[in-house]
Amino acid sequence: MRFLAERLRDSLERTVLEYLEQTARRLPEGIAFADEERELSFRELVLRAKGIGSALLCKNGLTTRPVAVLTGRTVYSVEGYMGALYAGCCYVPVDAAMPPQRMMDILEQIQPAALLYGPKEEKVLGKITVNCPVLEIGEAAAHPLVTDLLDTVRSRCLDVDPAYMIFTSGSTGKPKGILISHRSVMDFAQWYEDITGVTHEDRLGNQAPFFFDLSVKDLYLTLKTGATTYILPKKCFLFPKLLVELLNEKKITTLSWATAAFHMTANSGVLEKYQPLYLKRVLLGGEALQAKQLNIWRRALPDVQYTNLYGPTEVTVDCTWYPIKREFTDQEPIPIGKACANKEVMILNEEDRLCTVGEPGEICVRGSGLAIGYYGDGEKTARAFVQNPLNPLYPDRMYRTGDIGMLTETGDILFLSRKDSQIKHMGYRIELGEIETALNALPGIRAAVCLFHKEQDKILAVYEGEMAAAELAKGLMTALPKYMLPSDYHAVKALPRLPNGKLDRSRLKEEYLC
Amino acid sequence: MKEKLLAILSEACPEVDFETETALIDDGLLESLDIVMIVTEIMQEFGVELTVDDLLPENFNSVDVLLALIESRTA
Repeated sequence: MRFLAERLRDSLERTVLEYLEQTARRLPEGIAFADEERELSFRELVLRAKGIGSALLCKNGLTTRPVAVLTGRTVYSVEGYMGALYAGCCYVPVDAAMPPQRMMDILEQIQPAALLYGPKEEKVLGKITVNCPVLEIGEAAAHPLVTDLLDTVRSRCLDVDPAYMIFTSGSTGKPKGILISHRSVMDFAQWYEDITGVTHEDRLGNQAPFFFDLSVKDLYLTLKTGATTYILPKKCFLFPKLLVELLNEKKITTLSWATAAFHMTANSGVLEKYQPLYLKRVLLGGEALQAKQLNIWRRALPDVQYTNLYGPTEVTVDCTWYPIKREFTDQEPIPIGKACANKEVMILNEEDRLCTVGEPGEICVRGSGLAIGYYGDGEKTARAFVQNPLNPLYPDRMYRTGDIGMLTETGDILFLSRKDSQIKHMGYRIELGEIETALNALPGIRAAVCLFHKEQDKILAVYEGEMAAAELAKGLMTALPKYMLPSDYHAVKALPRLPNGKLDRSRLKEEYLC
Repeated sequence: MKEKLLAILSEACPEVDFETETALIDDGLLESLDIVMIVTEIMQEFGVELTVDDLLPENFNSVDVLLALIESRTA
């Protein structure tokens, strides 16, 4: 038997469904989400999600086990997510485009209470083995409401309970599920609303797939503010002119995109000819932002507010932000800025002391956005979420990001590299990221990556672009000391990328270092 | 010219049958990276310049429409 005291009003208002319902009361007929085929109002979203919640409750009874939601980039995804929450479960986005083996790895790890799937995902379902009840989202949404059970679930849900679980690839290759609470994600949404100034009149152009936590920005900004999220179809990102046409047709004002998609659009040359006319703000994250591509956007759209954000999934999307308000030369690194509200970001050196200005150290985060932990892996959780070494007096959780950063004179943080990409070469401590920034700034380079061959003590550069190796080396010499110059250059047509658009470094290492 | 183009396409995506497919884009058979690779190859191999105005789904749905596009640029 569980005994739960009545909650304070404030904590009741901090669950995702409370925000959704508040917005639905305010703007019942406002369009919440739209894709190529459907539009969904807030009223319909609540109603259909309650139907899904009811279907799940009738199937499983009360359970707090996660619900897997297997969908493509459609409105069905959001219905499934909210439906799982109405059933008192957290949701786990499973992308229909994932390799079947990875899907099964995830399902095996989470042992879901049920799997919800979109009507188009029936084919995918045939490729995997599932050992739990399976419900089609469209059908479940029409389920008669079981009001008493829905009410019981609501009275039990606390703001510290998990809302979603997002899988990221672990360093060992086994995906790990990161659990984020209602409170963390709603805190994030509140802050994101404040810094963007988005209102119900805005229209968000979703690029990030839902299994990638960048999509949390579009999803929760919509739930919180009543703005409309339009899910941009994949083919837009194949054909840049189509993308701009669609942004204009849908009057998109706000983009929270993966930096990779932002770079790709700049490199395509489309912005010199066609501009998204309604755009007010672009917020980027997921990878280091390059000034060269930023400048292409700024020349084409000077009135847009650009913001660079940084954060691992474990701290709920972002932990620092940098609104770009000055000019940057193509060679300059763009800072990741200062801590977001309700979060503290510290840079610690190897002795776990605070770094001084200009001293590189590990970026560590504490505050309300920290994940509950890794699902089913207490050991890994204990290793990554540790006691704040600056406070030995009482429990005080801190997340070690494994990223190296540095505080600058202005109080902004510069991202330098991953901890494991800091190398020792010819006696010097070198950040491979610094060489990459210099490479990316060269004309004719669309994207570049540096790798280090430890046994041969050699730095390798792999790049997309038309420049010859000799020209590259010449260009780099003006920007970097000699000991930082790569000794091998490999031109490729396209660098390998992960489904979320980030560079696939493990594949590059396999290809060039083994 | 068609043979050469087919070779480029098959190298980028060996799993697709380019001789018969006529809805490469509409059926989602080509990925963003594939297009980048194909366009780079075409520009090098055939010495043509493709701009953003050429990069449209209707020009990439089958080998024949793509061929027509290249031919209109080399003519």
